[in-house]
This record gives sequence, C-alpha cells and structure tokens, in this order.
Amino acid sequence: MKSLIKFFALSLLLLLLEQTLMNNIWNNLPTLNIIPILILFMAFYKDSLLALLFCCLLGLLRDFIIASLTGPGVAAAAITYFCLNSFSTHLFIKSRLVLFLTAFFSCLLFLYTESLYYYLFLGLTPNHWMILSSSLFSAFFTLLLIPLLRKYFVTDKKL
Amino acid sequence: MSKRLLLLVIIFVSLLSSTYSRKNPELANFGNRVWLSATTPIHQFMHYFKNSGDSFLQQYVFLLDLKEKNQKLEDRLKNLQTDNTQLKEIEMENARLNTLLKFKRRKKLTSKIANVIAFNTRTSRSLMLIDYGKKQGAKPGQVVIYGNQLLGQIINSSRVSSQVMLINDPLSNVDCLIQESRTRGVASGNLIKGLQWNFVGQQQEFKIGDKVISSGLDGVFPKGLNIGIISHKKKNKNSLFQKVQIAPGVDFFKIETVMIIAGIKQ
Repeated sequence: MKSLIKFFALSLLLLLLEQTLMNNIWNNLPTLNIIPILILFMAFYKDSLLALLFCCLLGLLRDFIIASLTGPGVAAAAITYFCLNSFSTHLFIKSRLVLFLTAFFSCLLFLYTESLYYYLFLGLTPNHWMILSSSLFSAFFTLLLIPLLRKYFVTDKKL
Repeated sequence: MSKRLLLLVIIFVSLLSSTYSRKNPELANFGNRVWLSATTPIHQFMHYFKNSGDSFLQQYVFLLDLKEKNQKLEDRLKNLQTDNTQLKEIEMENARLNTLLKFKRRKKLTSKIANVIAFNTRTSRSLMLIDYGKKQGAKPGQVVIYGNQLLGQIINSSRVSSQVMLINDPLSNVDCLIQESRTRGVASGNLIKGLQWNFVGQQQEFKIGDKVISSGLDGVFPKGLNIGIISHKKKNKNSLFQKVQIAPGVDFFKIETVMIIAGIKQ
C-alpha cells in the first residue's frame, strides 16, 4: 500500500509535468499522454486488482482534467490495463522495440476507447491524425522514461 | 472478485456516470476546479519563467558577439535595444488594449481584462487558461473576446483562474451568419481544422473568403462578433447540407490579453 501511494505521487508529478511544462512548451506539436504509459508499466509489473483500481483512479484524473464527461477515462484505463495485462506474459518488454510498439498500441487503445465514449455520449468523431501522432509521440517518450519507471518497478516488489 | 468481473463492473459504472455527467456536469466540473486550483500557480510560474527566459535571450545572449567586437558600442546598443524592446512591448500592449476598448465603447459592454496563462490542447479539447477567477467575478458562460474576435466562453473557474472553451473546441457550437449574404448556420469546433459550419443547405450561395459573424440567436454570444472566414466548401449531391469549413480570425496561441464580457450596460 505504501509503495502504491509512492507510485501515485510519482504519477501525479508526471501528470503535472505533462499538463504544465510539456503542453506549455509544445503548443502546436502532438500532445503527450502520460497515463497510458503509466498503465503499461502497471500492467506488466503489477498484476493485482488494486493495480486495476489504481489505473481507474488515473483515468478519473484525466476525466477531471478534460472536464466534459466522468467515465471515458476510467473505462479506457481499465480496458487498457486488462488487455495489456492479458498479453504481459507473451511479450518481452525488456526489448526497447517491443516496449516502443506496446506503448504505441496501448496509447491507441486508450485514446480510441475514450473517443468511443465521446462519440456515444457527445457525438464527437475521433480525430485520427491527432490520436496517431499523439500515440507515436508518447511511445517515443516512453523510451525516455524507461530508466525511471523500470527501476521503480523492478526494485519495488511489495505492491 | 476476478479481474474480468471487476472490469465489467467498471465499464458498467463508467457508462452510468457518463450518462449522468452528460446531463449534470457538476461532478466533472468540481474535479476540474480542484485540478485548476492546484495547477494555476505552476502555470503562472511557467508563464513568468517563459517570459523571463525570452527577455533574457533577447537582451543578453543574442548580444554576446557584439560585446566581443566593441564594448562601448555594444553597451550603447544594449541600452537602446532594452529601451526599444520595452517601448515595443508598451506599444503592442497599448494597441491590444486599444482594440479591446474600441469594441467595448461601441457595444456599451461591462468587461474585464485578463491575461492568458496557458493552453490546454488535449487530443479531444481546445481550452485556454486565463488569470481571471471567481475572486474577480468569473462565472461559467461569460463570453471571452479579443477585439471584435470571438474566442469562446468560460466553462469553469477556480478562485484565481478560469478555463475558456475556445470556439474550435469540439463541444463548442456558435449560431452564426455570413455578414454579406446573411446565410445562417451553426459553427462547431473541429480542433486543428478550425470550425465546421453545419446545417447550411445545398441551395445557399456564398464564396470562399466570406466573413462569418455570430448571429446572437444562440443566447450565449452577442450578435456581430467576428468568427472567421469561409476557408473551404464542398457540395455533395447525396447530402442535405454543404460541407463548409471556417478558419478562425486569429491564431489562438498568439493571444496574450483577452476581454471578458461581464454584462451589457443598460
């Protein structure tokens, strides 16, 4: 539980950085999505119901940031965690190429699930170009985060 | 409880909460207010840091080469450039405030001025953060403009900041008309593509470059505010309506100061 709180603090910090620093610097460039990346690491290194609920909490935070509906982020986070967790034993995540591709597809899954909700409840059609570019950008960023997140997960086994 | 069962419960709950928040956005707004209150100081710091960084680059780093060549000339040049930059800033600020005041005088509006402190261009939204909060009288639904250009409306406020939904946000709809032909329609946000003009019949005639203004019929935005110009149109025989795109009159990212319409003077 203690380590979960620690990871939550780290997630909040990364989310704050994403929302304030990254989006201030790159206004016109693809946006970074840190939440699917955090879910990816949770899915591969933490296999528990608590981890799933934690991912939902991250999704809820995203809903609060977007401020239109309460639910799309939660569902997207839960589905992304579940799918990635199901495949976790079949993928060699320590390979950078595999990690890059997994991050790309997890971002796609997360954003398209979220878009599905926005389409169902608000009638908004997804912006495919923005979703693709954002997923690609986030996947590249994941490679930069490897030392921080992998070290955290590998050394911490008590969650 | 198995993970699969928990996932189904979460999906069911998220569908319920989405349905609820579609009609009652208070929950999402409350969460957003808390997030805004927490992030506004960081945004303000970033804004200050960015501006200081820019002036540091302009006033010191770019003049290093000249300093090596001629110290005296460089000193004089540095002073003049500093004065010049400050004067230009004052002139630009003066022009910006003048544009806002002209509109205010013409329309007899009670208004407030605010600075833009950040943009939130998430994959699904187009929002702007301004340093005008509940403390200064911010309320959801207040209209935000720049000169005669409509920017959007306030959707949520914390004590010292507010989030503005820009007109190119997918959830934004503005009832508008073409200034010359008076053709009416509804302009919906389409993020990087600007705005999409819906419900324009196939028989309506207008040309690319025509100016689009707000009609005032939506009861939110005052009549006569500039929205943009027609940038693209396509007629489709199989559809009731034409496909029309509007390019906004300003680049939202370049705006530094905005005016909030607080009310109309009686």
